[in-house]
Amino acid sequence: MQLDRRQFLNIALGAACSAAALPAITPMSFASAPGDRRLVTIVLRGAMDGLDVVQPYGDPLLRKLRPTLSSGPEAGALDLDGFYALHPALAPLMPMWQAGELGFAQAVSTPYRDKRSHFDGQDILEAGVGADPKAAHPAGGWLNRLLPLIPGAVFETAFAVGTDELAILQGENPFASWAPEARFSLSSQAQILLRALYEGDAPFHNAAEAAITISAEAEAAGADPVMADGKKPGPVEALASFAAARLNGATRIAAFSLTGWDTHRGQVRALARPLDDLVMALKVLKRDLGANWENTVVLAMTEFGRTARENGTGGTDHGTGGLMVMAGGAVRGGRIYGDWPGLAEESLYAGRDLMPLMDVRSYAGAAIAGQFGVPARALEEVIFPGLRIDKMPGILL
Amino acid sequence: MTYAEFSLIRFGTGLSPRHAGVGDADLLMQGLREDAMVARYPALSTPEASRLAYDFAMAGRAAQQKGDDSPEYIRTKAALDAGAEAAVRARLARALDDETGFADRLALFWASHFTTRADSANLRVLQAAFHEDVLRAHQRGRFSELLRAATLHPAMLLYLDQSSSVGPRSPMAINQRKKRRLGLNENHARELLELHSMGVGADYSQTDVRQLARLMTGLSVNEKREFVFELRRVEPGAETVLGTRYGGGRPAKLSEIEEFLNDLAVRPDTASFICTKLARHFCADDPPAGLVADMQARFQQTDGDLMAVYDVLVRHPEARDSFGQKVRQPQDLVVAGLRALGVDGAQVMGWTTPQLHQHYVQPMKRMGQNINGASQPEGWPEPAAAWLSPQLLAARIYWAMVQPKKLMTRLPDPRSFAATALGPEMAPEVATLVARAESQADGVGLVLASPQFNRR
Repeated sequence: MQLDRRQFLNIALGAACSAAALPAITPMSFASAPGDRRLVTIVLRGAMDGLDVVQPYGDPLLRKLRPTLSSGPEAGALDLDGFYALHPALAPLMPMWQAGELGFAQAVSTPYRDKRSHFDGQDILEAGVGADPKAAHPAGGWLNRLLPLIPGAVFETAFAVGTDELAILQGENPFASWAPEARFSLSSQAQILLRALYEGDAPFHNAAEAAITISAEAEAAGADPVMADGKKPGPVEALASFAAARLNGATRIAAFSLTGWDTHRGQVRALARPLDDLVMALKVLKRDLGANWENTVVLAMTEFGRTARENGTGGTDHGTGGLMVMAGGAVRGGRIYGDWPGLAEESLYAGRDLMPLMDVRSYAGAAIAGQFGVPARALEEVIFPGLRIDKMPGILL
Repeated sequence: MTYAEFSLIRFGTGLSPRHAGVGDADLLMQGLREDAMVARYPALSTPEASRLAYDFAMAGRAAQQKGDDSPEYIRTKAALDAGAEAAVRARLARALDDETGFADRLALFWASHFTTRADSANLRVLQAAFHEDVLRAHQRGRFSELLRAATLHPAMLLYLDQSSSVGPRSPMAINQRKKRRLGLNENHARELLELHSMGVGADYSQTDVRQLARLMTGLSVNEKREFVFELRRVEPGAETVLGTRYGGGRPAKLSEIEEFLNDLAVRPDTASFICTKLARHFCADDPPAGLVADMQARFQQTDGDLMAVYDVLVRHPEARDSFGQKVRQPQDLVVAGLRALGVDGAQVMGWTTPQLHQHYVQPMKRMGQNINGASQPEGWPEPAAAWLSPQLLAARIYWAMVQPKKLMTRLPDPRSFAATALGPEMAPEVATLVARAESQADGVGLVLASPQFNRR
């Protein structure tokens, strides 16, 4: 199968240009590779408010900019290091933080600036390239370009867990998604005739051939997990559990996305569900990966941050600098990476957003280099064109 | 292929044993002008929708205070659900009974362009009214009228949070006593430029978005779920958006915002964005350049007269030459399937709620299209690949194979059905294959699953 632009990440993660507000159910893509190291990337679609998730309550200006949001330990947030506090909804992750398996990078961004469009922002995050969404890009999303650099790495068929609205996952790769519940049973004669009908029409032909093979494969992979207690898992639990099952097999790279982060209004309530989803995803990955968790890096990234100021409707609008979440036994966690840019008017980007001080691709690059032995030059030239890594961030053990 | 067949498939809701279509572009436009089916199958108006939503909210509040579901609560909830469902039903009936279905296809295009997503029954009735009073009522006028109606409708104001935006120096913000600072929400302003008019590629800045958010303060929805221009929310002073000053009147007036919308609607970037989208939706994922240029020129000559723009589209040689390049989106496919099987509006009006779901709402959802709207404000994707993942194609095939049996007791002969559904020109190659199917149901299913039927 030919790997072309977006085959790996962009498609399977639901093509960038149209998924800002997808429901929690997404398709996933996988690649196998030799060795024991594992990488999971999660795209947090809709722009996560990093200042609310890891609250810099030690900066007195935060209270001024945000009268009702991000109020630090006073409002139940969990102190992390005397300056930052963790959003209360992430309390179930505190044991992970204490074990050094959870860390954050504050004030990060992609090179995307100014227009603050979800759709372009996600495109750039997944393509891993420079700031102009219209510029000619090297082929493929960045994970796509990574695979040829790992000897023995192979793209695997992508799956999706759940059925509702997979539809809007768009992409040029017709082999991208499959829900285990999808039914595909035809009489053998009908199947023969259908194949004949589709023979001259490539998109139909390819998708139908894939449907026929994937339906068998998905069944064999046990893609419809039932929990030990016999309960049917929720969508995010199913997603993470399925990813972990693959990663316990030959899969070494997995990618999926979580949605619902676009909190323009009533953020106190609106952020609860996506944060619960993030907790669920990370806890299930740890639980199901078992001993393999030790060799795993999970990176959760978002297209951009949100305004430093609370807006007039108890929410936040599209911003610039944001937060990256990293987890896993292979991560040097228990700390928050990156300098603090401050919240004074002149320190903010365009007078409104947290100033990004670090390219989020530097951290992703460090994870890739550490997990798969990809040299820094290949990171700068092939995987993340235009990125300059002066010093590799030491985020791995 | 005759113009009648071409236009039914490409611009309309599909071939049908009940309809011959129209012989030329003039008649196609004539039918659109008349839009006769709206009177036959009326749907919810905005005042009705607002009242249903308000009654339900009041009953809900009372029930909450008493701690149980009162008969009034149950009654208003049922009325709300019935109103939303009746609108879905009416729109389907129109698409089946109209001679061409061009108006129905245009309304779907605009529903995606001006996406609202309705996840609660409350919003579903307002969305139904939005379809009726904004899209269906104004899609034949100037783009400025459509844009104005869409921007000021409660469904859109609620969906994009404009209803809660407040000018930071407005009387409401200054007089409020709560700790929470009332202020702007820039969501609607951003999408108005990025998605509804000029497009993300156009030359506007964050400052324009911010200024526009200030200009738009006052646009809101009252407790009765009606549009209001609320002076106490208005940010005082004028704003400069896209290089022009608007507003600043004392007192502020809605017409100041309308003036901006009128200017926005006729900008060259808007003409280009709208015409490209129309051509991409109706003709090809990569739309023919000559067609786009001609539509855009007409848009600009006529200050955005949409009928004049459609007129270029439906008689353009490039629209004809690119026939078959588009893959029918699920809603279009399911409607075309029902039409080809001879289902009519009267039958749809007689379906029970479960039948409406089984025959219409569920199949399109499995293929990826939710009847309540796209889940993101930029609407449904256009590229064929978005709709032809293995899973989604499997859903199309599943629908094709099982749906006809559920709909009718006597299935048509697969060979003649191929001619009915595809037209005489495309039918032969499909008919010879489907004639070899094991059963009539398989044969009819294969016609519906064929690439020829899934393309337009």
